[in-house]
Amino acid sequence: MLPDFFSLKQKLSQRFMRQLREEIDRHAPLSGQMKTYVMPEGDSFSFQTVDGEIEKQEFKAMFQRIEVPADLPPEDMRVKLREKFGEMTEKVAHRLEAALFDKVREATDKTGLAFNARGKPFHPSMMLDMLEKMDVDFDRLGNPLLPTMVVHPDMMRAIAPRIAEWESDPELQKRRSAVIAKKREEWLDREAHRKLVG
Amino acid sequence: MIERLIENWLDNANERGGYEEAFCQALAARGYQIVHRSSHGQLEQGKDVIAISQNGEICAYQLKAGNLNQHRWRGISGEINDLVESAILHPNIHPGSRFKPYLVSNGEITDPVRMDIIAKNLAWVARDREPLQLILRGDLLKWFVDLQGRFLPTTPVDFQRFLTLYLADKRDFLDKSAFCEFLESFLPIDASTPRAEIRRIFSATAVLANYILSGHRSAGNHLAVAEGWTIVIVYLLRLAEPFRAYRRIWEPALRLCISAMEDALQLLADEALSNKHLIEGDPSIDLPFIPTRRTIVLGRLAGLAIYRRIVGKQHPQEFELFGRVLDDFDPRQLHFWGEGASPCFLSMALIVWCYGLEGRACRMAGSVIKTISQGNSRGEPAGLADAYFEPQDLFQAQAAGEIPFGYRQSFVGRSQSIRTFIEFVTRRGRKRLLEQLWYEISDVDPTEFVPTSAADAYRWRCRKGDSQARKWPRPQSWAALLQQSTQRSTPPLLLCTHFPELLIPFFLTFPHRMTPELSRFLDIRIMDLVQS
Repeated sequence: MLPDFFSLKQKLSQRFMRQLREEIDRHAPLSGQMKTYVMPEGDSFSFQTVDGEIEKQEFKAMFQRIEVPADLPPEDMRVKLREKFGEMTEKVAHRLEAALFDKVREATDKTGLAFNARGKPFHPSMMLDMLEKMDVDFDRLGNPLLPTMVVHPDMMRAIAPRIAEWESDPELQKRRSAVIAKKREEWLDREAHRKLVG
Repeated sequence: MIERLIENWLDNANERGGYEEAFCQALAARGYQIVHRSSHGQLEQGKDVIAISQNGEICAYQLKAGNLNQHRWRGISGEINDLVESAILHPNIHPGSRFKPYLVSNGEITDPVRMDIIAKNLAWVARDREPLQLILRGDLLKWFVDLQGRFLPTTPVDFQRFLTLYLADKRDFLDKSAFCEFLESFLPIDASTPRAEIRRIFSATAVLANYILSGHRSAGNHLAVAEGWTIVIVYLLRLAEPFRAYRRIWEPALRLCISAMEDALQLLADEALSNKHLIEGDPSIDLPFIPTRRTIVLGRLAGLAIYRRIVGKQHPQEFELFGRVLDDFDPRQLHFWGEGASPCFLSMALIVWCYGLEGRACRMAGSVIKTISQGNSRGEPAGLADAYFEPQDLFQAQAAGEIPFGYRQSFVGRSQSIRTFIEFVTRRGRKRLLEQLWYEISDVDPTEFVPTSAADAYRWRCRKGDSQARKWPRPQSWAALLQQSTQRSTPPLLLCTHFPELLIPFFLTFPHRMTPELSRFLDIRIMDLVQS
């Protein structure tokens, strides 16, 4: 063995892993916002949904293999590693986001919250239709905590020029306000149930 | 290698609290019943340990440390005379029974002393006394090495674990995780154990633990010793679970461990009662740590008092222990570093309740509920550390300017101990208090780890099990809460069925194992005790 800075490299490796996680998050804007809970023991976890159902799941490993020739000169190795890690973080991020969407799809199908536009072009009324179906929470100041909307870049290019027009459409704004008002009432009703009774 | 280590330990041990415990464990492994240890009672008459062998032979031992030359021998000759000549006065031994006296030393004796013993023996035998026999360094070393047998760290990794613990700074907290890992490295937890081996495994484990903990004891680190013995007890209970019917075989060794834990807790209590402000070491550095130390120490004092109540022998200084807890029974004086502190607060609330101060106990429980439900409410960045975090982990990270938690780790929206405190308050009918807190409580899901095999609850970490998060019903019915909180059931663990007094030390040492079911069982037990 050649002289090595073993312990120091272990620390650096931990720091590097954190940097990789940050890089993955950069490519995974949705899952990158999610908080994590570390379960130091066990092989499964279960939780209760808002409908009262218990869902039990097992942990799934996620890994991405990278291969770099070991006999490269250090300079080439640095370039190659950078390239490979770049690819790896993108791939992992993609898989994380895909897994998240799969989970959302599974949950919305199960609860009947899925919305199918049947090929029609996007219109904000569709979003309001979706909002009507779901629970919306409000912050302490009474502002709605609206869900994040994810659109394909092609679709975004198509709808971006029309956003200003929709925002000034009095009919749409009126409906939006009505939906939010209804959601606020529903939320207040739900909040009123957060109490000890009997 | 291990022989050299045992040798090193033996050479550095003093008799009281040094090798006495290991010696008793070795006797227990040989089938002796320990009927008396002088460190636990008034009776001495030159007899540190009294034991009865399997064939009914009564033996009395006097333990000494170091070499015995003529000068030392003259100094202890009075005690030796007492050992040989004075009758054993013990309720379990018939007065006037014959017994064999032994002088035990981890050192050697010089030839003149040996000659003197031979001469004295002739005189004693002539007077119808049993002759004094010797158990010296070489004999002890053989006893301990033989006892260990194959229950030793064998792989280099396990051996390294042992050495790391053995050589650790004895003034520091015990590395509980490493200690448990070490025990798991040689204990046959998942393998079937031959019945004939049980006694030996129990004693060998205790002796091995003694090697590690004796350094902490010498350093006066009573908390580390108490925690170490609690861990040993808990792992031995895990081994005993399939052998409930053979309690007679494993209990003597377990009792010795329990007694070692009690000793350490008592020493901690003595020190805490004599140190008003609980300052340790250099005050210029120590001040920020006092609230955390106070929380740990008061939790332990309260725990000791509760422990003794459940055993049925009220602590002689219980009122002082209670007074010490009551003096600082204020959330502002204490430190809730995370849910690892919950067992300390629970034991304090329990002892305060035992003295009739129900309102104060419930307000303390309420304050914990409030701290958790606010700290872990949605919108908080990370929330309060869960019970898997030790206070020293948090302090160390803070001192190094690091984040103690994992990447994006958060505890928001969940709690391991909130249900325990809610049930505590519910059982005492304090509905109004909970009503005031319920809006925030309802946002924090009670969580609990349920091992696949119930007996694995004794382990520091379980590979198999379910981490469960549940939601509070909205609205939550008081009647349902009351019904659940007062449900009487005994969890199917030896810890509950046979050793409920150990629940409090267990919670304080394994805070992540303080489940609502176990804490409910404990609290109902205490309520029954106080009300009976």
